[in-house]
Amino acid sequence: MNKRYVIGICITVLVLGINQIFIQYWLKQKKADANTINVAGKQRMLSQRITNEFCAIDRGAKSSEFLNELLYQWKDAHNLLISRSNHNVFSNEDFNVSVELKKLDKYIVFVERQMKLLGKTKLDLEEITQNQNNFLAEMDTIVKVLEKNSDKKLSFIVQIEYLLFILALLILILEVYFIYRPIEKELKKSSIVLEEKNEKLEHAFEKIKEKNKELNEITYIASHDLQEPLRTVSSMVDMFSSKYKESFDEQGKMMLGFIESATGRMRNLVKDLLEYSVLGQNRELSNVNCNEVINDVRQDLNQIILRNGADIKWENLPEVTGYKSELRLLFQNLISNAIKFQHPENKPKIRVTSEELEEYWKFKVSDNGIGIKEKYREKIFSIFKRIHSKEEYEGTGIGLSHCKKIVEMHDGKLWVDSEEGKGSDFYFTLRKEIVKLT
Amino acid sequence: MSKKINTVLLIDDDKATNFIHELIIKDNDYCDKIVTKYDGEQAIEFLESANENDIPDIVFLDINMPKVDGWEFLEKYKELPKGKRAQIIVVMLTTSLNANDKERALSNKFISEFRNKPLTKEMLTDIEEKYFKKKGVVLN
Repeated sequence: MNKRYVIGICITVLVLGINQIFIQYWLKQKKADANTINVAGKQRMLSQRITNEFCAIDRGAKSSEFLNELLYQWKDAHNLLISRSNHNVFSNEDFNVSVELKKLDKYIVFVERQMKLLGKTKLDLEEITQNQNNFLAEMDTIVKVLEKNSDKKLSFIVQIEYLLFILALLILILEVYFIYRPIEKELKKSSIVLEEKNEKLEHAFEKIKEKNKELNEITYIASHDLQEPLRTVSSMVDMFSSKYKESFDEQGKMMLGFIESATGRMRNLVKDLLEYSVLGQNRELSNVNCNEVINDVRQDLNQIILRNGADIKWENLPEVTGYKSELRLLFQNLISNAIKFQHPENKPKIRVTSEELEEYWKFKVSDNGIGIKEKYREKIFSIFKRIHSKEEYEGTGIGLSHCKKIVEMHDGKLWVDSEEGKGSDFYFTLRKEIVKLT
Repeated sequence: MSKKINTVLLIDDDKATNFIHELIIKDNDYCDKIVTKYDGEQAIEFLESANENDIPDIVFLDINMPKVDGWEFLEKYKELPKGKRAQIIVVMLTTSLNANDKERALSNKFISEFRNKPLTKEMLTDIEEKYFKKKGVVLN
């Protein structure tokens, strides 16, 4: 389609170009014609002046010097006319200008002869005048023919010019009809297709939003409804354990222990799932001072911080627009992870810093903990994914999923940079102006 | 049971599951020796350093484990010399495999079976019939 478009333009430009060249050529010709006619006119004047000069010499008023000069000019111009008329394209077949001009030679020869007789015999002024009159009459005829030829050329130019103009117009019309109109149609069609796609996308987006809501509800219901029977099981196990444990043998006690820890774990999982599903629901955006949030978190985690000798520092954090309790949970999870995933002999050192980007606030929570292997750096954000055994580090594996969900609620991203054994830097961004989807 | 099976290797990170599996194997007098490992790495280390008598006949392998998971275990298992490999590997599943995992599992020549947790008496008998009784007949 594009190729045809370019070729169309090229053809139009070509036709217009040819048109221009053609016009220039014929204009040049026309100018040459005008020049020739002008020279012919001068010839008439010269012949008259020559006759006048003869008369003056006859009266004894002048010498023959000027007459010589005039005759020279006259002859020269005559030869020029002949040579020009030889190149003439539009020589009339009945009236060959060049032949007719040559016929005038005799008048020049006559004048030349009179020149030679000057001073020897008396001038025959009557014959000279007659010669001039005859020359003028024939010259007039020739000039008329020249003028007619020139007019013919001009009208030919105009005709060609019209023809080319019509041709260019025709090509343009054809192009409009066969090239530009289909292109426009195609464009219209593709814009309609685009609109349809857009509509579909919007529809799909609505559907996803709906499904997402549904999914959240299902998670909520499942975790909520699971809690009920689970509570029964766990309280029954507790009662069972306190009443009968002592009468069991070793294997029985072990089995009871497994049941107790499994129900405990399940209770935690269900609780976490429930929390996950209600994250950010029915919450309002507000201005949140991150310094205050971290301070609160530090107070909440006071016991763990003291127990592990953790050192937490932050520097001048911004006030952001966000969901306050979710942001608090985000900082709490990241900081408690930084304390938890630590070599037993190390003292946790945690730094929180921020950076202002164009549309986002970027935060960094860095620690000197155990670090994360390259291959786990994506995995750790999946729900209930754990990369350590329960014995090494406790927990259900939902903490970072919570964090991810919270950051995504703020239109941001959460990622980690880490060197195994040396510590991790968790980064997250929060959008300055959050677009609320619901 | 007829004790064609010498050693069984259990690989699972869940203590309770291992406890149940050990108990069911012991109660059925299925083999002479049970070795239990809590992740793929420990299991590979065990296989690498085990002497001939300790090389297991059956490996019951869990897929979802912290550190080295079931798939990674199988990758490393491939590199082991033939004498360090078990006769069969049975993959034990908590839930059925998703489509991606299924394709991956079917293309792995070391996996003989897929079973759902927990191990049962019937499962053990079935596996023995399928992989160990026949061999006995041929040998006789």
